[in-house]
Amino acid sequence: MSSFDPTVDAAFREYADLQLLHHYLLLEGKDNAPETEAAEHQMEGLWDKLDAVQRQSLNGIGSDLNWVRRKGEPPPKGRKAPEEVTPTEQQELVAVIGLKEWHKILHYLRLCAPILPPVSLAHLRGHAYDALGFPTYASVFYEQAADFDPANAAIGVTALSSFEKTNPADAVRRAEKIIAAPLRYPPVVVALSALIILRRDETENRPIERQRFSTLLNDAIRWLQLEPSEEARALAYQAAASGFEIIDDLPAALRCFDEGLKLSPNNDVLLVGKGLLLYGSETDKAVETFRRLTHRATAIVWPYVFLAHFNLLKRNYAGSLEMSREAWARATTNPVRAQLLEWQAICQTELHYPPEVVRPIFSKALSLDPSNPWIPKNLAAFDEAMAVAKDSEWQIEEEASLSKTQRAHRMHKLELIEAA
Amino acid sequence: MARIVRPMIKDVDDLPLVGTRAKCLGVRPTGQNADVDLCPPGDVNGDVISNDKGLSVVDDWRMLPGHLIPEHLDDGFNNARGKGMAVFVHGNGTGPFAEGPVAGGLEMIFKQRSVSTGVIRPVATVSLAQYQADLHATRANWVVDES
Repeated sequence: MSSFDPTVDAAFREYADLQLLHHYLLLEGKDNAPETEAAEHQMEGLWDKLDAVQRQSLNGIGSDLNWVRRKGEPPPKGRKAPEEVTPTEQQELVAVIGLKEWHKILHYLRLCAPILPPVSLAHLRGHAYDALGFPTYASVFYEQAADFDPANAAIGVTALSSFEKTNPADAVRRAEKIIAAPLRYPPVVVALSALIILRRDETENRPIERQRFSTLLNDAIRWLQLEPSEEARALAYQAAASGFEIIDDLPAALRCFDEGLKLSPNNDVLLVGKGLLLYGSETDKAVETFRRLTHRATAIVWPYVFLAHFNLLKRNYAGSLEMSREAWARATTNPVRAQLLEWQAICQTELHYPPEVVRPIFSKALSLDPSNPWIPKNLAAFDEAMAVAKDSEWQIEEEASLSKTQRAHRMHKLELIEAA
Repeated sequence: MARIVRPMIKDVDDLPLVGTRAKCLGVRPTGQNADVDLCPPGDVNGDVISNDKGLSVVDDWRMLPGHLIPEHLDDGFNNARGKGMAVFVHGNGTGPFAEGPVAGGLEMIFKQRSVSTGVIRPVATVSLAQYQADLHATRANWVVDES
C-alpha cells in the first residue's frame, strides 16, 4: 500500500460522508447554520481518529469538492497555469491511470489540473470516485461535468444514471432542471429526465401531467434526428418508450421501441421493452421476442419471468420450471423471487412433487413478498386440495395484468442503468 | 512565548471576532458542541470547570480539518474551506508549542495524547462570564500570521 492509499475504515467513510454533507450545506449558503456547525463538530471529533494518510486523502477529496463550489476555478493558493505542471507529472498521471491506482490518480489530477479541460477533469474525478466505491462523490463530479458541457449527451446520461444509483431524489432534482430548459440539453438527456420524473410520479402515486410529458417526449423524438450518436438515439427511444408507457400512450411507446430497434436491432433492453409492451395484446410476438433473448442467454431477468408465466398458463409445467430457474439466477428483488417461487410451487404440484417439498416453497414465497395477493390464495388452494385430495384451483394472473403489475418492479432501474 | 495558532473568523478591524459560536474568540458554553463543562451543568450563570476542555488551539494550521482553514489558503490539496477566516497567532509567539500560561487567568494545556493540539482553559474554576471575559481580553494579542 502506497502513501496515497488510505485505510478506508468506518471513521474514514463517516468523515467522507460528513464532508460531502458539509459541501452541500455550503452550496446552499448555510455557512453558519446549526446543521453545518454540527457536521463540523462531528468531523473534528473524527479527525483525531484518522492517521496522516487518511487525513491527507480526505483533505484532497475535500479540495476536489471546493473546486466544484468554485465552478472549476483553480484554488487560490494552488497551481493555475499549465506551465506549472511538469512533463514528469503528466507522465506520472498517464502511468497511474494505466495502473488504475485511483487514489494516486486523484492526487495527480490535482497536480495536473491546470492542463486539463474542466469537463475532462470533472469526468475523470467522477470515474475515479466511482472506482473507489464512493458513488455519491462520483455523482457530484459527473453532474459538474454535465454542467460544464450540457450539450454532451454521454456525459449528461452518465450524470443522471449516477444519481439514479446513489440518490433518486437528486436524479429528480437534476431531471427537473433539464426539462425546465429542454433545448439546452441533448434529446436523450431530456427523454431520460422525463422518464425519471414520470417514474417518480408513478411510484409515488402522484398526478401525472400527461399532456406536458407527451409534448416533451414527442419533441425529444423529433429533436433526435439531429443526434449524431446512434447509441444515444437508441437510448433516447428506449427512455421515451418507457415514458410513453407510463402516460398510457402505448402506440407511441411501440413506435419508439421500433425506431430504436431499427438503429440497434439486437439491443436487449429495447427488445425486452417491446416484448413487455406486447405481452397480453400480441402475446405470440412477445413470446417470440422473449425466446430469442433467452436463446442468447440475456442477462435481463424479464424474458425468463414472462416465459415462465406463459408456460404456466399453457400448462407446460416443465418448461415453466426451467424458465423459473433461469429467472431465479438473474433475479435481484424479493417480489420477483417470491413470484417465481409461487409459480415453481404450482408447477411442482402439477408435476406431482410431494406436498412436503412444495409447501415450504409456497411459505418461502409468502415470506419474501407478503404484499403479493396471489401467493396466499394459491397456498390456500394448495392446502385445500391436499386436504380433500382433489386438483388445486390455481389463480394465476392474466397476461396483460402481469405485464402491468411487474412494471413497478422493472421500472425502477432496468432501462437506464443497463443501457448507460 | 509559545506559538499558539487558532484560525478564527476575522472581524472588521482584522482582529478575531468575539462570540460564542464555532471559529470565534470565545467558547460555546452549552449544546452538543459545547467546548467546556459547566457547574451546574448547562447553567450559563454557573462556573467553568478547569479540566481538559476549553478554547482549541494548535501548533500549525496545516494539520487542521479543512473547515477550520481559511478558504483563501486552499492549495488544491488541503481542503481549506473556512469562510471569512484568518489564521491568528497569539502574541506573535515564535517559541515551541508548549504548555504554560497564556494571559491573565488562562493557561494552555495539551489535548490528550497530543503535543501539537491543546486548549486554553481557565487556571482555576471560574464563572463562565469571567472565563469568556479573560478570553476576550486577549483579542488584541492575536495577530494574523498564515505562515
